[in-house]
Amino acid sequence: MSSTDAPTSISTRARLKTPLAVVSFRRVVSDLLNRNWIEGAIPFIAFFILVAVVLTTTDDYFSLSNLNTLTRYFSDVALVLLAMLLVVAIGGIDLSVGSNYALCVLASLYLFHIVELPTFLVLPLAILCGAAVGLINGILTGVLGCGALLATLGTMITFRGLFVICSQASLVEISTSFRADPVWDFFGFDDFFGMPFSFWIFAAVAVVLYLMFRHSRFGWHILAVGGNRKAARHAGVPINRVILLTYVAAGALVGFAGFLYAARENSAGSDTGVGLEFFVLTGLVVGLGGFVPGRGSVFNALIGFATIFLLNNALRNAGFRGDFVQASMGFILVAVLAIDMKYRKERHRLLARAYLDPAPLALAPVMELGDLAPGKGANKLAEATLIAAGKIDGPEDVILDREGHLYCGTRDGRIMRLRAPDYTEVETFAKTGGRPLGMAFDAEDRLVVCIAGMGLYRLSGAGEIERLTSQTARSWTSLEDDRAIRMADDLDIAPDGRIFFSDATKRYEMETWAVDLLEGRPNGRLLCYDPKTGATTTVCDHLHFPNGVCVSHDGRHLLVVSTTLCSVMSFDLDRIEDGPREFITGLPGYPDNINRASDGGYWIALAGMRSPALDLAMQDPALRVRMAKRVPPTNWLFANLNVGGVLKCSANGTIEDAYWDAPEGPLYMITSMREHRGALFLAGVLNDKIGRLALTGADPAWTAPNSYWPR
Amino acid sequence: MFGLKAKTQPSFPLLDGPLRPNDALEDAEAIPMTAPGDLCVAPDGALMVSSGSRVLRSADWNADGFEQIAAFDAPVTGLACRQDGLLAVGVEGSGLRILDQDRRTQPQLFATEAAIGAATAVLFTADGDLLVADAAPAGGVYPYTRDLFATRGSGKVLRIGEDGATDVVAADLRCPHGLVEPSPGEPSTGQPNPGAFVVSECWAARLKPLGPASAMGTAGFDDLPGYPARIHKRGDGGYVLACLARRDPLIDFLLTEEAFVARMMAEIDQEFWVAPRLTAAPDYRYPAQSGATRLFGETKPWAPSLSYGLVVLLDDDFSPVASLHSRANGTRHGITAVIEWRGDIVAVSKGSGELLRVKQTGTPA
Repeated sequence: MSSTDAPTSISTRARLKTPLAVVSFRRVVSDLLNRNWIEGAIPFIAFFILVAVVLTTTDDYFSLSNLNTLTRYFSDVALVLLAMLLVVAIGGIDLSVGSNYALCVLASLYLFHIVELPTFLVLPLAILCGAAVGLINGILTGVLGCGALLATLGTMITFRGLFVICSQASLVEISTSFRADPVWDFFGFDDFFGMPFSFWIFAAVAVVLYLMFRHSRFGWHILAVGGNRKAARHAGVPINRVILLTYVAAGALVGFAGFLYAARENSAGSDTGVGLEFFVLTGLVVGLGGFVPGRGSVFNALIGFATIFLLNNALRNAGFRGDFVQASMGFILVAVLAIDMKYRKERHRLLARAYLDPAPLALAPVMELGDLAPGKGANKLAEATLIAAGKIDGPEDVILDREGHLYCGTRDGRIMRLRAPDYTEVETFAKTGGRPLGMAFDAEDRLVVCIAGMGLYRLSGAGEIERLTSQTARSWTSLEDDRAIRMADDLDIAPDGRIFFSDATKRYEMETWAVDLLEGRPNGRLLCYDPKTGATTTVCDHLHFPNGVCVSHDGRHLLVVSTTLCSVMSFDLDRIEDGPREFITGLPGYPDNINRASDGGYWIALAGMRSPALDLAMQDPALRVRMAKRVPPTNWLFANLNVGGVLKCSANGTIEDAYWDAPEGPLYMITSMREHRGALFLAGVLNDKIGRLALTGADPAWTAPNSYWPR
Repeated sequence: MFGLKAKTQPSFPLLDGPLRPNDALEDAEAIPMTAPGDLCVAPDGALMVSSGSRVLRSADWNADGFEQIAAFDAPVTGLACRQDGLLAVGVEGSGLRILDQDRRTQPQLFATEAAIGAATAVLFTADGDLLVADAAPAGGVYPYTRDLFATRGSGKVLRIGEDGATDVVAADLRCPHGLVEPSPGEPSTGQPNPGAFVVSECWAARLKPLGPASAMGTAGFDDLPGYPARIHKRGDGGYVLACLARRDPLIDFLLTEEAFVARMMAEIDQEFWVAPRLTAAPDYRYPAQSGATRLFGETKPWAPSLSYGLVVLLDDDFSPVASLHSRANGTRHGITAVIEWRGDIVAVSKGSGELLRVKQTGTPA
């Protein structure tokens, strides 16, 4: 610890208010549009409108007894729908489900009434029968590579013919059989917890399929093949086998459905299963919004199916003629589809337009700089020597260890080490796979790094990387799932080992951080990772682009930079829940990192400068919305990042000195700086070099590791 | 969806075809000069240039060859020289001064009673009158950016007879900055068109035909990609046009943002407005555009910039045939005047404070 004691005045400064939640219509719209489940919103809305209409026009339609009857008929057809969902998900289609269904009904009846097999044998045989038809379809499409439409059209006609031939021979005999069996009737008639048993079977199958698509290798293979067959093959998916198995599984489901129908009806007619394939296809198309291979949305498909099932039933129930029902159903389906298609196409555009959500922001006026303003005094940074020019791409932060070796992150995700004393050789210390930003050494001299897009990581002395945290608790006031740490920016470590770090924005990425600045909303947060418990907590949510983090020299305060507000705030480490206090406001530029100086003060990096025009535009959110809409991003009014520098402030936040480069100088956008043995090392996220400036009057023995963790 | 689609934006003029960017102005020969402004050529072939409140002349391209022929108490805003050597000089705030070839003031000639704030362009017409473009009758700071954001400008063009009779030929112009008489018998009209002339209306980004009958076609001269300043005839037909800056989508957008612009003009120094500027030299308080950020310390030539150097060569129909550029990474921005002199193109870069010369043979087609 430095002997300098931070004045108590830090603890008595004005409290800053942070909002409990961001309240904004645009935000709600964009967050909603951003959710995956919103994709199925239109069929869902259609379903509820239908339910509401039926409720108001028909008495007792949704009574328990009617629901029971409805689900009894619903279940076996819904199983066929799931079978169709399987083959559509793999990029195929199965027109033969109706014929297959009829065939399996007949097989079940024949085996039960004529062969008089026990029910528990009839069921697997019926499933096998369906699977066999599926196998033929699978061989035709998966192995021989016939087009699914033509192949299943062929099997549809073939098996319909087969069904007619067989049924003529045995239907009379079946209808005269009086065999009764409790298990058989259980499948056909009995209830279980108030619902037909067949409904529970269907529900179980639906859950299994849902889990299969989400969590199983086979389910993922189906979606991969359906999504892009060529890519799936390149990824090593055995596509022929997957297609074959999918058709077999679909056939088996149809077999199961046929068995349930047989148990319920105990008879079959020549029209059994006729038109079934088109009925389930319409249900599927309504639910998924068209033929969408590569998507196994069981829930959406069922909602779509429930919609047309209910519509069909309710219209017939209301006494409309069959052909009128057909026509009006067709019309309503086309209307729902048209709206849904349009919505699906426009959703992303709508999201993109609603996403940018600027707020009015009145920045504190720029402090009086006097002779410290750029261009007023000597360009002190012009005297800096350049290290590793052209050899490193985008060092955001720079840090030196006890031995004086220098570390910095690069745009391609590496952490580079430059060895003391000459810093000429650049070697890769670690590869992170993200965008390394702020860094700090812990008490055991291990490097802890904030990696944008990943979280908080720790490196061993050998450069091995270990994740500390990538998530925090979800905030209750956000529609968006904000658990993931999106842009870990800078950190510092308190004397007790707790790691405080900033998640600069929850809404943008490293490449688009500039939009966050234009938005001017408190989208960032301050987080804490406690190595003792391994827990990550949100210390303070809703900060304006919190960036640099620095523990004060006395170890009692935490200084946090807000880039958007051009200010520095302080937290009391013992009473961190009290929230931030004002430390410095009205900086002339956009501050980035903040680090300790040898004299007990702090260095503040300025990444860019404020302009009166942008300050004015920040007060006008509607202007920024229109600008984002009508001006190409490259022409947006923005912070001047072509000038930057370093400010030196005292322990209580008084700006004492400023360091600028010449107007076109090489050190322009300073994002971080570290003092080490009387020299200042300067880094810039858009630069390819590190500056080294000899400081006059600085303690030549002072190093940051020794200031934090004295040995 | 459901009528939420963004309205179609007017297309933005691109620098393409004959206007494709090059480095011709960056590569040009240069003579440093303090606050250069307008140019004209004397009947004896000498080059005249205004430098601050002085008028200089030189018989040849030589930095040491410039001699002062007149000095005034305010910056010179415009220059023109008649065939007999009579020199008309616009002086900021005090109108016109007429000097004969012996450099004596002739207050009785073209002695108008109209107040002239800033005679940004002066032209002796073929019929003996003097055309004067007054960009800022009420005064202001050059380049009178206020009129950029105004729908109705304050500028006007006066026709002054040698006896002092004055007509206002055009008013409500947004910074008239150049005047030229179309060549008689030019292809588009087929015959001389006395009294017709063309004014370059800087902040409206257009060349506007004025006079008894339209001197040029109606299409194609609005919506220029730059803000036009002085325009002069070329010896072998056609014209040469100087542009103060390139147009910018951000500024075009702000033209529709009246409330913001009103606040900006009221609360911010003109120097820091979001507006075209003449110099590339940076100040840390200048507004910046997001695409202009340097990478590895280097400004990309294609970066958006509020200052730019552009000279356009036009044919007899005022259609561009070639252009000379100084791009975002250059310094020779803010071209206020250009003229053909001894077969070469000579231009004034207000941004870099230089007189530039580009050999015509080297002009990119």
